[in-house]
Amino acid sequence: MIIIKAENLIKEYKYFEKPEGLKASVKSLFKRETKLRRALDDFAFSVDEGEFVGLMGPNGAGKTTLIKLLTGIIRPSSGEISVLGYEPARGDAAFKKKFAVVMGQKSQLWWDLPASDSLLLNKAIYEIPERQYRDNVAYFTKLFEVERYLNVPVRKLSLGERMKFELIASLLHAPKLLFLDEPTIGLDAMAQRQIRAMLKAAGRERGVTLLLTSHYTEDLLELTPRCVVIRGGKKIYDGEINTLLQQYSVNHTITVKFATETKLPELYGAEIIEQTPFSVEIRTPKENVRNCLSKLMELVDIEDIQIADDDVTLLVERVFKTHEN
Amino acid sequence: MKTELKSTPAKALPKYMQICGLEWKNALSYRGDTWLSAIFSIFSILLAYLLWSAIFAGRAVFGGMTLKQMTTYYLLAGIISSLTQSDDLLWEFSDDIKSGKFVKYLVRPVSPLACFLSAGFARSFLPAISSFVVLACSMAIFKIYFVIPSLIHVLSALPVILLGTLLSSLINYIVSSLAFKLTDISGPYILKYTIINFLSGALIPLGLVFGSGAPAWSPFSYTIYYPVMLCLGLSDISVLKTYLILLLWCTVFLLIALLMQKHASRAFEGVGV
Repeated sequence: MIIIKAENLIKEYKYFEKPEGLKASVKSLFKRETKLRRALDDFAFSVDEGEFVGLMGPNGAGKTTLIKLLTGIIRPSSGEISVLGYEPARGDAAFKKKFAVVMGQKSQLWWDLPASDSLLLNKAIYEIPERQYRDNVAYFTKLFEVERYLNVPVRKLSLGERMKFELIASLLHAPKLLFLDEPTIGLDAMAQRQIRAMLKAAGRERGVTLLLTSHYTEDLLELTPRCVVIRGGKKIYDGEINTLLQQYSVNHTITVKFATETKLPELYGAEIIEQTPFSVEIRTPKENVRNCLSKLMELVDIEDIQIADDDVTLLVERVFKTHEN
Repeated sequence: MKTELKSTPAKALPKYMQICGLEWKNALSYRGDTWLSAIFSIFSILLAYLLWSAIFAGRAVFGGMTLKQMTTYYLLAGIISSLTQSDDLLWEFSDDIKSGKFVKYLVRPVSPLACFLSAGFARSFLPAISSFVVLACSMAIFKIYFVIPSLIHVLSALPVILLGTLLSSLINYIVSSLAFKLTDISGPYILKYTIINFLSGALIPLGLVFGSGAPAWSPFSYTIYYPVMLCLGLSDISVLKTYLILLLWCTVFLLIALLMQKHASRAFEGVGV
């Protein structure tokens, strides 16, 4: 069943341009030139119930604008949107009870109070029955491994712990649809991995539909089998993420950490991105990864090794260039 | 398209009570500031006493009030103004609009206006209680300088004080909502601050400025001047008339606030999200 449907969606923002200098500033007090910027251009897509969809694109591509339109934060300039059978811009309370949105940069937790107080507020806001509230708090705090931090003031928590509580607060009322905008931004690799695993488990067990934006390929690769690539407000790819990576990801990045100061062997066909006596980051074509790894594995003091796909921005640029050609 | 099932006030009340509770809990983390500002308010009473002693210059009555009544006026105005003149929420709310944090009201089933009023109500009462304790102690210690208001007069003024608090919160909400349209609300804020300070009677009893016809038409008179005059038993209009006029003004400002909630928030573009 389709639960998100957007057709011919256009969103334009008005802005004023002001040239440099005092004279222009004075002039702009009386006359300002209004300009329009199209953040989404004739955008159309649909999402089925239970799907996990990733939104990819560089900064300013229109991903967050799309989430703002789907959640009713802003109104479209034209076009139609239906989410869970509602028109988001109407702001119906019944609609707001069925979804949740987590924006990596905006917190809903009360800074000076324990997270448990913010959870209790959400219980009242979403009119969650006492039993369901207790069960969900117990389930999610165990899943996210934060039971012992429930009564600690939010300002004393680490960024990763705070994000876990943000996610718990948004999942408490059992939303059918979850919007996550850069949920792992600023977190270290360990916390990112934990949050991905927990979201996967929570989504699978609770049957949530997920729409995720992230700059980390790993987030999208692990959580969202389907991805929509946006650039300049237009959809340029909509399909399986694995197909996208097979077609457009041409390089791998290998990051190696050494326990002691180590001299790197000659690595043919690899580009060194960053190097210190104790670590190295190299980029190499996929077909050359095996060759590079065998050379690297000859080194005795390897502490950690990571292999990652091309980052989102590079992928999007390649998709865009292919479409343009 | 589906349409909304209306939530009843009884169902909605717990969420706003919860907001009140959290605001109280939050304010208690900063109780040191609250008590300090209450203690320092004694100095403004002392200053008013010294100033008015000089103005009275041995006269028994000035502008229809004795020196004791005048000093008591400033003491009561100090307590009531801590209820009606807390502007920090106004700035916080307008900052939420500018920075995009206002999103929290749009994506959750809450009314921004009701959240603002609950938070304002909760935030006003802690400073008011501490002011009341400090100033009541001052009154008890230095009772020869004050008039002790009668309980009947104070009780009749209480609904006016509560409605005046609501009126001030509604005005603050309207001013902060201007941030949807204006980049900077300092101008409207300074205008509001000046008008209210002058027309509420916080600086000088309105009877002295406007003579016997203190501005009964102005909504601002009901935030400080009339509640204080009712406490002192010196009001020139009846208690019932005060309630009715204040209720009328509250309704007018509530309608403006609701209109702003409905239409102004459409200008929100979520910049900063």
